[in-house]
Amino acid sequence: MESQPGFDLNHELTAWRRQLSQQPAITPEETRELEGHLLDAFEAAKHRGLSGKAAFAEARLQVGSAEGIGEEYSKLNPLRNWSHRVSIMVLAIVIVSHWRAIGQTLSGIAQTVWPLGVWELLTFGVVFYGVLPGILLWQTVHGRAGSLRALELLLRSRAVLGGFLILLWTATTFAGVWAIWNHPRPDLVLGPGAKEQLTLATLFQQHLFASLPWFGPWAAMLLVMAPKARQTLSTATVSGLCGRRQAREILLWTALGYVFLSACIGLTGSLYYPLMRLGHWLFDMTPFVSQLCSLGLNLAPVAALAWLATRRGPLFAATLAATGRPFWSPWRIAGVGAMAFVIPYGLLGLTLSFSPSNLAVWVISTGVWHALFTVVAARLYAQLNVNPRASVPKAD
Amino acid sequence: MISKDLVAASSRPLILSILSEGESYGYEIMQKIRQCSQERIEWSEGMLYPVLHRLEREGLISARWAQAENGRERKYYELTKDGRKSLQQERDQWLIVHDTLTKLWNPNPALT
Repeated sequence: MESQPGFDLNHELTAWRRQLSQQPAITPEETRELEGHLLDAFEAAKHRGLSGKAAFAEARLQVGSAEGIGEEYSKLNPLRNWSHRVSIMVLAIVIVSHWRAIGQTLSGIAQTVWPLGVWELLTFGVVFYGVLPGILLWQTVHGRAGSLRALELLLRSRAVLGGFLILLWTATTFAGVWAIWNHPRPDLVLGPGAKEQLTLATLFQQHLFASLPWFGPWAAMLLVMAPKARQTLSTATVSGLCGRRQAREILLWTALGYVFLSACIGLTGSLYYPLMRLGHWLFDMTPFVSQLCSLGLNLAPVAALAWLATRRGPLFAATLAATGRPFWSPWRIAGVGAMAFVIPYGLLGLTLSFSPSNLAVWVISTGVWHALFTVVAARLYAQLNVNPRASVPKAD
Repeated sequence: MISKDLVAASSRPLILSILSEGESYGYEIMQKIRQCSQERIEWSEGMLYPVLHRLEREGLISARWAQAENGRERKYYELTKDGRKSLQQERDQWLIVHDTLTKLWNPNPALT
């Protein structure tokens, strides 16, 4: 291979291949074919008397940027991009759901130390829950996802990720149980007289398994999709070579992941309580059967996303058409985001028969969070609004 | 220089026409386009491959990997039977456009 002072063809080719490998729509076979073209162009430029470095630079320019080629291939293979988008959505769902759990635990712990009123709780909710969409919004404005390097490292190995998820699940549950056990008014959380009947161990066991049907399917899906999520994240952190567009696309699917999660929580929650009541009325519902019902409800959104990532079909075609059409203005995205909150949470509020003041606090704190994510998604969508079905090659 | 849209619209007939002369590979196809257009049609060359793969998926061309004279592996493309039919259709359509524009731009050739 070519070797001149300051120029190493092998090194340059490896760097070029690495850039292409960050494009989810390009397969290794396609990279091999493009590499052949690059080498043909390189040899032709050398033949015209250019130095190795200048010839390689010219050949790269002729072949085009990895980002541009990736975009063209993604029009050809939109499904490949979809599996990456879904992987980011799942990652966002796992992170956001834990952020929410940590927020609830922290407010619980705070209440064990000093009593918090409605306004203090609301302020805490807005500040704590505002951090995550705030980071997202800041990164959106700057078009960067550089701080995702730590996540990329976590996703490097399924064993490490699995260990981390188990640790996170146990720690969140333990902190939640501690906050409930030390709550100044345990009757408000556990019901009158429940603390006398429970031991700390049984409470911990109950909470650990109660969160499993919700957390388990998402964690399993994240483990399956970890390589894709890592590949997508590396796209945004690969030192500016892949640019703002991928970073923004990752942030867009992160925000949409949250909007999806929020709608799922509302819908599954609103279905869960009536189903449980019906179940208790019809059968003798053991805790195990209740857990199975809960698992079934939580599996539905996971299955929908898995289908979107792996299958072609009417749902996939409709989603592709919907997200790829210019008529989906940011206002429509914001409208859909709002509906995804109002309908399921309205149903959930009705099901739980909240008092007006509790409902107001709950809707404001969750609604602000939901609105922020929706704004991020709408803004990013406006920046990225292209039709992925167009089949025209670029001439630039 | 020819506009992007026109380059995009002509990509299929250009590729099919070149392959109608015989088997070829990406780099050679680009060189032929450049040569025939006297370098007036310019593509970012990596964009050629998605079009080739789309044509392959539609069954208009077939592909195979083979070793070239320089020892490197190359993917060669060849026109299929359906590809020949499609080329004929493309040719008819482009000739209609060409004839129409010629008549519009030279309304009375007898006077010129």
